[in-house]
Amino acid sequence: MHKKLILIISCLVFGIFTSSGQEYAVEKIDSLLLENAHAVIREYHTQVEIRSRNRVQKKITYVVTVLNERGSHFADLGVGYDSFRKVRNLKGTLYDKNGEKIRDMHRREFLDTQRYSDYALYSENRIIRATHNERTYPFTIQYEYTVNYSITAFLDFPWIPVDDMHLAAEQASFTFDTPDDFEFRHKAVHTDILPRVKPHGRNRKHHTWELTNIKAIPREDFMPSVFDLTPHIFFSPNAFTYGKYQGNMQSWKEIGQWINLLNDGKQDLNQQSIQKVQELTAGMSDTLDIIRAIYQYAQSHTRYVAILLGVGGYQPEPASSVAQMGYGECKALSNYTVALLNAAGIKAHYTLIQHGQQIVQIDPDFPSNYFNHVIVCVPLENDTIWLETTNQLLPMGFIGAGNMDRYALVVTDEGGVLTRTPPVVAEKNNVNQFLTAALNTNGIARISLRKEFNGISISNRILPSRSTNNNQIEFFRESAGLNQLFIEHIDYQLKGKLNPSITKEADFVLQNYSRTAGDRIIFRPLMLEASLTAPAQTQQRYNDFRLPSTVLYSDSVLWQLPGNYKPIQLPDNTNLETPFGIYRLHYQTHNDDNTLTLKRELKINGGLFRADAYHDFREFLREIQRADRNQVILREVN
Amino acid sequence: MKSSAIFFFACILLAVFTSRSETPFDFGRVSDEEIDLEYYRAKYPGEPAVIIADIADSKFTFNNSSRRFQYIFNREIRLIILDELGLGYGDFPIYYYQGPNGSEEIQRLRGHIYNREGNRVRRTRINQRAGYTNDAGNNIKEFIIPFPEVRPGSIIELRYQIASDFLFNMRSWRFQWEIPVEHSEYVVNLPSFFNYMARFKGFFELDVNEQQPTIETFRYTQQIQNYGQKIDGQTYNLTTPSTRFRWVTKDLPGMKEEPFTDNIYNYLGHIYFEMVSEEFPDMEPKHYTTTWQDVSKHMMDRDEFGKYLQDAAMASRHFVPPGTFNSEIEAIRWALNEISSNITWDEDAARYADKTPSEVVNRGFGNSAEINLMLVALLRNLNLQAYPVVTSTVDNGELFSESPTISQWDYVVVQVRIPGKEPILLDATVHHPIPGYLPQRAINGRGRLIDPQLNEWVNLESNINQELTKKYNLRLDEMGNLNGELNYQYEGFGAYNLMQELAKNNDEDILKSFARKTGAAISNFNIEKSDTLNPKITVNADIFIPDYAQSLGNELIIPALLFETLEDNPFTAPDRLYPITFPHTGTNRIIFEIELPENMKVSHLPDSKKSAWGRFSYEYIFEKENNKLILQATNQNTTRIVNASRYNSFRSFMERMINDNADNILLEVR
Repeated sequence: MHKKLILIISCLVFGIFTSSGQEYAVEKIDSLLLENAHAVIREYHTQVEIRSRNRVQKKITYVVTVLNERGSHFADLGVGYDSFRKVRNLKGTLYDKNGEKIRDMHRREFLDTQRYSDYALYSENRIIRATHNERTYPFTIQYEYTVNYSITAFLDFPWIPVDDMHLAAEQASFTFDTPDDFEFRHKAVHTDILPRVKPHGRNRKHHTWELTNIKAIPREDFMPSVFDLTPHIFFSPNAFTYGKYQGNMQSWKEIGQWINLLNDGKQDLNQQSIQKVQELTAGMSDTLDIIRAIYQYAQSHTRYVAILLGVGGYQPEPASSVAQMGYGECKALSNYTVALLNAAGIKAHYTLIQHGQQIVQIDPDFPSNYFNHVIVCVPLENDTIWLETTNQLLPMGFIGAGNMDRYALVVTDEGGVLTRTPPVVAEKNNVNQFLTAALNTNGIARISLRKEFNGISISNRILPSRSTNNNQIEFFRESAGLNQLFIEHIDYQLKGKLNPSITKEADFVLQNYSRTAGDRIIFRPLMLEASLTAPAQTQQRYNDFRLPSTVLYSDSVLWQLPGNYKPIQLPDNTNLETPFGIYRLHYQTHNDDNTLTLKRELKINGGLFRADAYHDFREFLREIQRADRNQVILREVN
Repeated sequence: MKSSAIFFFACILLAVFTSRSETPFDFGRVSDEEIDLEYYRAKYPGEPAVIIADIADSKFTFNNSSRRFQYIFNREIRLIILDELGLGYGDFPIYYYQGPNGSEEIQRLRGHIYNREGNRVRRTRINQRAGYTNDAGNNIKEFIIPFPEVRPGSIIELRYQIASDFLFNMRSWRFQWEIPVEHSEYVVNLPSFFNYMARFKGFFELDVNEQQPTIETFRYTQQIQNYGQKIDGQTYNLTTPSTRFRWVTKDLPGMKEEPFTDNIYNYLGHIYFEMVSEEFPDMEPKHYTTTWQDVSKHMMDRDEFGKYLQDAAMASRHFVPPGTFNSEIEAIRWALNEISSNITWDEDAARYADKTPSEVVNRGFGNSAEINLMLVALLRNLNLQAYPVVTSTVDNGELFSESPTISQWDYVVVQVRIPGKEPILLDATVHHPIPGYLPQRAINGRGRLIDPQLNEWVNLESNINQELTKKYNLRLDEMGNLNGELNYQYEGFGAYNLMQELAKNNDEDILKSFARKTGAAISNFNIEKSDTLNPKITVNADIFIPDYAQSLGNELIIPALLFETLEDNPFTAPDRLYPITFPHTGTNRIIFEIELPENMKVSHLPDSKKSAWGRFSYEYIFEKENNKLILQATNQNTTRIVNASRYNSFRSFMERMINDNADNILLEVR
């Protein structure tokens, strides 16, 4: 009798302890969340508690169900730490598809390694990685850990629970536990949710945001950034502490003042460097010449090496160190260049910027630390010169599409000033090609071309313009995509002082360029280095799409046709004008000298477009692709 | 201290007999004439950097504190950077071993960088503390020193010493790099106690290949137990004949990797060593790898191999067969699938296990040795004759020679024998294993069967082909639109390899690049996979390509092989010193059947063409049958390798192949 009772009670007790597992059963996931998902976040709770200016604690619970092998990486965890962050109580648990616990993760499965990306040589940052080895899908994994910070600068934000494609979320929450006198701002993007605010304990309060049922985003061509697509919350503290530095993010000006604090004393050039500056600029009166001389000196004596030390990577190495070592990363190199320019009597400013594919849109009304890169700004009376210091090949003033047309924070002596870098203007970014060719009846084509790259289009040709001739030949051979190519001459030249351009001249011969078909000759009059391919057709586009910066292409082609061969009929001219750009291709023959000319113009507009326009965009590209590949048929006339 | 005095003494003795030859550079000094960027750029056009000299030597010493022999490796290297692409050579790596049983030490590290400043040459010393360490895998670490002030025209030099307890693998020496090497030299002082197998690899001639007999003396101090303490006893001199080898190469060109290369390291000039035996006076000689018997014994004696296999017999009982099998092959297929689906490969190519068999079964993942040795055990439980076969993966490189070796293997596969039939190779590390098929990484020459009784080579090459047939059944209309069906059939390695890829991707992705290239709308996608002994994958889909044909007036042009026209010759280099390696033998077929509308006639159809070169061939057939176009392209290779000596001829053959397929078909609409 007693035994039976014990059995029943123990079953009940057992039942209580195991029932919590079933909530992670895969069948409980709403089918809407399974669409396009390789993994589904079941719970993702973040609690941040500000204990004092120098003590912040963050607790995370992350539970994800991995549906198949392609979602496997969502169950890997990487927790970074450094001298300002410490990780504690890291635990992991695995559950099967019914939500039953399989096992806890072993200590050995959490690897503690030095963290650095491909570009960084050395870093004080470390990372704990957990790589599970589960291969029976679906499964669920639960992680819990705590991070203790000795700063309040919140460099881990914004809060973005779904930060990748093919990931859905059932519920995610963020709780901020702050003393009443801790001021901060917040901004919700792609969601209307408001925080629940309530007092907590003595002189403290809780702000809680909750998001539920976030659908997964499929990965498609021309993807905008995930920040354009999923709900997230930005935070920005007013007063904060970072190591021994105190700052305030309430205004751009104050953010700049904090940077000044970090950079204080770092522009310490020694006597030798200052003398060098004077030697370089002796006798120069034109400000632009002075800037160029110093910029080129800095470029040729330094190289980009990423070393993430000091204040979590926010402080540059001193200028004297860059002068001595000859390397540094963007902060150090920019700081060094500013120091050199200042020594030459030119006022230059350290400038923060978000470089690259415009991951996060900077909101001028929401001052915060959005930046991942540093460049230099030199304001002149009639102009502003911008300098990118990490690339030794760039001509002065050219900062590349990754730095253009966006907000940058220029750090002046008074503080930060939010400014825009030069826009990418199609008319200034163009590629013009003039090609003359002669075709003979044996299929041999002799070509002479001159191609001019202006504006951001020079980016891909800077390297050959600075290479030896042998390398230029290699480069052309690989990029031209032409068969049976015999190169007679090739040259890439960088020209121009402030708005550089690159000119390419090439003379080459192609064998078997035209084909015969009975008594006719068929050939393709357009020789394009990069052929445009239209993206694959999908049933329906899910996401909006983003096209890269605008470049204008124009080609003038003149063919000397062989002997008595003339085109029977020319392909139709094409004229396309769409919101995505324009394309024109016109043919003309000239009887007196038996030549054929083509004029081609292409412009693709950069920008963000709606998903329902994608079909038309595809059509636009396909028509271009077809027209570009047109062939011409010649027949002998007597 | 006493031991250091002896060491010093031993060094002096050795120094007498092993004086270094004239070095082509004076470490610590670079003259104005030497730092001539223009000279080097003119001499080596297009190269990012050039190694001026790379000089090393290895010698053995007896370390009295550790009571072991060590070898000391010294190296000095100097190079000049010629352009921006060569700046990366300013982060110079030093490799050393760090494993569970000890590690090598880098000592006496010094380096300088020289830069021209006007008329002077400025020398800057490296800062050792700026160096940092990376993990290069396989217990090898990479210590990197970033040189300061690196720019085109800089000369860097580095000198270091590595003291190593790991005599088994005396450092191999690389003569050739991807950039030119003006002078490369390696000196080895080898006392008679140690016998190594040494092999050269690559395409180069030695400028100096010397071997000189010498004498070396080692001092060692006996240790005696004295009331629980070890104290120094007698000091002995051990004098032994020794050989001093010296190898020098001059002006080796840089060799870069071209398309269709298995592993460039197989061809870069270098020399490799492996210890064969140790013979000390008055002691039994210790053989490591003089015979394959030794290799087998050594591996079977190791916990990570022989013992693992033994314990796996028990652990694999976890996998219970569903009943009795009707044939051996059925049993093999079951075992293969059972291991593959229950134990995931962790992407580690290894010849030894890291865990115990029960850990592997419990944790559900393992390296290549752990998985395939488990498979051997499971097959043996089913009374099948199964054996482990050690191999070297393609990435690890080809074997140096036929000589017995252990350290060159980095992978394990399985051979199973059915009486009366050919032996079958198995690998359970892939998602969809099939008896007789190995993944690409494992198909590399020959492997070695490891067993106490059997002792033989196993050929890893298969005569199974990679077969692909693409059929297009289409209708062309007057507007140039193409409408119809496609049918792809993959067989042999074509099916096997595709099956593994599909495990990681969507099935529909197979047609992704086709859709991109042609702009086709694809519907009714259907795929059938059968992973029987003769695997096959069949893909069917309906396709619609609008405006495919170009119209000019009342004529239409289509390329003779439409969107399957070959356009690029991958072999662009003017010459090549090492063979071309294709992944498989096999046949590719493309067949178009295009129905034309009644009122369309063919005004030009290209001539059919075919050609053969050695064991490569192609054939293009262009035919018309009533109102149907039948276009076929077949290309076939019955060997994987093209010898370097025939490169130019083969390259011309490829040019012809592309030329012959680039014609057009003209159609007229009446």
